[in-house]
Amino acid sequence: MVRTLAVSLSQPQQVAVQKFRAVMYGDHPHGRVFPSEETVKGFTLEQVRRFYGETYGAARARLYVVGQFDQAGVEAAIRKAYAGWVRGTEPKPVAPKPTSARAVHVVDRPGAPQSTLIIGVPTVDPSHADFIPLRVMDALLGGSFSSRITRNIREDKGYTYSPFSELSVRYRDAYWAQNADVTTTVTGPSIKEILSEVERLRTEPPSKEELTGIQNYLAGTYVLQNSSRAGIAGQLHYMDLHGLPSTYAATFVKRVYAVTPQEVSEMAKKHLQLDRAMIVIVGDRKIIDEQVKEFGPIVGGS
Amino acid sequence: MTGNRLLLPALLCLVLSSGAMPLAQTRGNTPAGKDAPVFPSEPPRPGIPRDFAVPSPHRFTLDNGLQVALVKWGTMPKVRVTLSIRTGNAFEAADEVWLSDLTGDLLLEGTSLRSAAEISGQAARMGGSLDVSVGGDATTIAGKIRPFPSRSSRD
Repeated sequence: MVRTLAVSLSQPQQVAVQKFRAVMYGDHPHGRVFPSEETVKGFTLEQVRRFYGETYGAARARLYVVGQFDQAGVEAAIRKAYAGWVRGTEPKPVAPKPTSARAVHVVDRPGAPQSTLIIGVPTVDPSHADFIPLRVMDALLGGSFSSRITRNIREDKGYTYSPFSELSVRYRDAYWAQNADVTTTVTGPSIKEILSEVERLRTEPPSKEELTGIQNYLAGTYVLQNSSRAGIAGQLHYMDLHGLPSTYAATFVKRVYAVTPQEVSEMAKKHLQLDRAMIVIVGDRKIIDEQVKEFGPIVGGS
Repeated sequence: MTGNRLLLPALLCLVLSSGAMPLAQTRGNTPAGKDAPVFPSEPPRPGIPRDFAVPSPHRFTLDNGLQVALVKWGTMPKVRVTLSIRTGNAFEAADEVWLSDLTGDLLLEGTSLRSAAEISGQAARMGGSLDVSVGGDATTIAGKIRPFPSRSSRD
């Protein structure tokens, strides 16, 4: 575990996520991605037992069985095997209060040939009616290989190899973020292009053709990803966790295709508020500070 | 870990009791030769994605609060069992970061009834494996199995 921690902290992408989460979530558990080495070394069996006793139990658990099996036999076996499991306590998750303000948070990595970027804002979570249109917007903007930001900074400018945007989701919480490892000398221009693609989508709807391509991608991969035993179990868990209706999976494809170009633009306008967008960079400060100061106040520290 | 004694035996017990029979399979038998089709010069056009039809799960809840969903799906005699518990990194205090991960790691390190080797051995003899995954909102203990009746899977 100490080794896993050391390896993670040697990766600029992990350091960037840690910084991004710490700024967005502050003292909430979501803001704490990595422990200190001392914390890990200091764990005791007593702590593990207490944590297990407090957070494991039948009242907090869901069991999914997917495949070909004898239903009556499996139900009887489950009732017998799990009847004696302690009930435990109901989960009491602490609601996060993500905040975001326009600033450039830089973690210095002297001599780094690349700058690792995360640009993002908090959004609505999967229980919100906007979430499926928001996913379509994300796939078109930066969340798929044929997305606008990927075409711009990878295909057209050659600043980066594998940029991607995502809707990062937790219980009653989510944020949108664009990630990219860019060549150090084009750190500023990369941020400029990313922000301008967001702004363009906020102000003008995409063409019907562009949107249809994205809808095909999203609907097709949804069906592919969920057409397996593990995929179905995962999807049911997602629906149960976020409290989605039982019709969610069956209507997902239809709802993806129902999204209009105007709606995509509205989602960007409503949820990707650029004046609140937080920028995190892990890179060589002596080269990049000058390039990025135009995007907001620079906040240093490691 | 004594608190862990019920979890894994319960999973394994469930897995042992699923009695799906392997289905007959027809083997495609088309040797390449003069009748082989000409390799197409264009890739096929992608189809139109269809609505994702999931059979309704059979759901029930045990007296202790455990919620269960059973889904009959697919044609292969294989089963995925996933136990998802609302514990993980989101439930850690400030000085407990990764305590969830350590707890998750220890789940497969043996119980009061079975050693780590016995747990993985039993899972392997059912043609599957058992994995723990710790996340923010939930920790899952999942296994895939091929529940064909045989001497070795009943021991």
